[in-house]
Amino acid sequence: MSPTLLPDHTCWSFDDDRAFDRHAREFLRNGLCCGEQVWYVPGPRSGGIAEWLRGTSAKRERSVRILDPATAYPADGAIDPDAQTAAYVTATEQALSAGFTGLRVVADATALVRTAAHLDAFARYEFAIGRYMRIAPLRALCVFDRSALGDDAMAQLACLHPRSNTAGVSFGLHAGATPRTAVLSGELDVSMTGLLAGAIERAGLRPVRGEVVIHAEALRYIDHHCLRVLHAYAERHAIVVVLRTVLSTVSVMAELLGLLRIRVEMLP
Amino acid sequence: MTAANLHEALCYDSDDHLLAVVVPFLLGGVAAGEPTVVSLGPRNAALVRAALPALVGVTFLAEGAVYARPATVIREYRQMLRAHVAAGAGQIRIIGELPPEIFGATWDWWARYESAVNHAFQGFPLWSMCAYDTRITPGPVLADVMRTHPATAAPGGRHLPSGTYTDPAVFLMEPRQPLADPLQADEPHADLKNPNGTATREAVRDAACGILAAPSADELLMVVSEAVTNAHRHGRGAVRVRIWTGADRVLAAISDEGPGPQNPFAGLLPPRDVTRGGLGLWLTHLFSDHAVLDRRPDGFTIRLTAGNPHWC
Repeated sequence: MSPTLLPDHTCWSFDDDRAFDRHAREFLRNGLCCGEQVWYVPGPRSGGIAEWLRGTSAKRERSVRILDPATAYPADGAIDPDAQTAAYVTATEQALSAGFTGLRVVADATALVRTAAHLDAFARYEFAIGRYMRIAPLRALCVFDRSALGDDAMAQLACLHPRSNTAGVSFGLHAGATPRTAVLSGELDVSMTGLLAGAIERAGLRPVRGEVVIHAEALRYIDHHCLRVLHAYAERHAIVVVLRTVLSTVSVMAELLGLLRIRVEMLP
Repeated sequence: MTAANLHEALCYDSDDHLLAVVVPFLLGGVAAGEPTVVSLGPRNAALVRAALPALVGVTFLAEGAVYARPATVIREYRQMLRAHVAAGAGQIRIIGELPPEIFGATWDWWARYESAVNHAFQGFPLWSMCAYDTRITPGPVLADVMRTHPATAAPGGRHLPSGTYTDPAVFLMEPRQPLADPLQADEPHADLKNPNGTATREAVRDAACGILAAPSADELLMVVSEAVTNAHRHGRGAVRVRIWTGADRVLAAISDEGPGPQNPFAGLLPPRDVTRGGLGLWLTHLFSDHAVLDRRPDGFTIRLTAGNPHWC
């Protein structure tokens, strides 16, 4: 996978049951059609899919699993990002061993992000699982009830998914191929500073020789506010952020502002 | 003569007149062991070179390349002055000359530059002269020159105070009635009411497509986006963005109903405290080919050009 090609990992913010129902059915049906095992972890408002799946599972029982949320996730709602990632790695490998072409998951995770601490842990997990999804046939539709969580929490989750139906989030930060890399895309202006600051911390990037690398080839715009957010992150961790971009203004801006912990690599 | 800080105009009407002031000025600097710098256009640089003794120790900056954007010039001169002071200079002399093409459509922001440097270079032991050829400089430009330079230099080592010199804090806040770009006579390519950054940038990309290439296209995207952010954050009332396109340039006007920036030096100088704003307007000036601040009773408009701004 190229540094910037992103996995099938979608954040679905729903307050309309029917729109979600249509999208989730199509997503799961596509998985079944291409020989994947599909998992469904319903929430209180997303039960219609389960009924539909039970109908299909009569024919393809091994292909479909409908999981009780209490089975799929910790009962107290607190996710351990590493443990949860490991669980889906194991599940994907088991699906492959059983002859499926991959694993496809629709999970209503609303109950796992109801407190700030739980949201933080889950957001870290979302970034981490994204790295595995770059190399493994694991696809996911992460479902959240917007009416229960609010727009801010939705935005914090949406910016960590390559795809999202959440309005008002203009950028994405996703895992790169290695623990020291991330992929930054979209547009970053002053309205995104808070989201970016949270997302880059939750990425948990691990520097190599004091550097992390952000592949920003698909970044269409970044302003000085967000560039300073990245620099502040680099200062907090005493590292250098290598920003790979096609935007000619970025290196000049970094120089003008004296952002010594950002090294811009211009791409043709 | 030793001056702590002096910003003089040199309004000359012949080569002899120019040399009668410039040559003693430069030789005096060299004789005093002061960093002595020439930033003249190709013709006058050659004239001065020929009039100076060989190996005299005057530094000639790249001819014509210095004066591209006012905020950039101020930044680069300040860097140079800091370096000279750090190296022990007690006095620095510079003779400069703006290229004649900027006496047209873009003069307004160079007039702001000439006024702002009275403040921007304070604290440096700089004696600078700005040369204007009165045979080709328009009258309104010369009037601004007299209002932005505390004195004029004349042959014989004379320094004549300017009777119309105006405090930069006053000059820079005056409504300047900038020339309208002819593109503005047509309907704009885009006319957006209260757009957010994303919608603004989409409109800019659409307008610039096929007219501007990188880096100009990237620069326009940045400056318009910054201006819209400023209008929403610091302006008042409704924000309007209009974009016009021409064969060689794209023009964007961003308006709000407020009075505009209240710091007279905003845009030309970096803010001392970036947390209090002003950085975006400075960047806007650094990355634009022309930035006009238009203050009117009914609101403030910043007009930004990417591409060739010299339509007259």
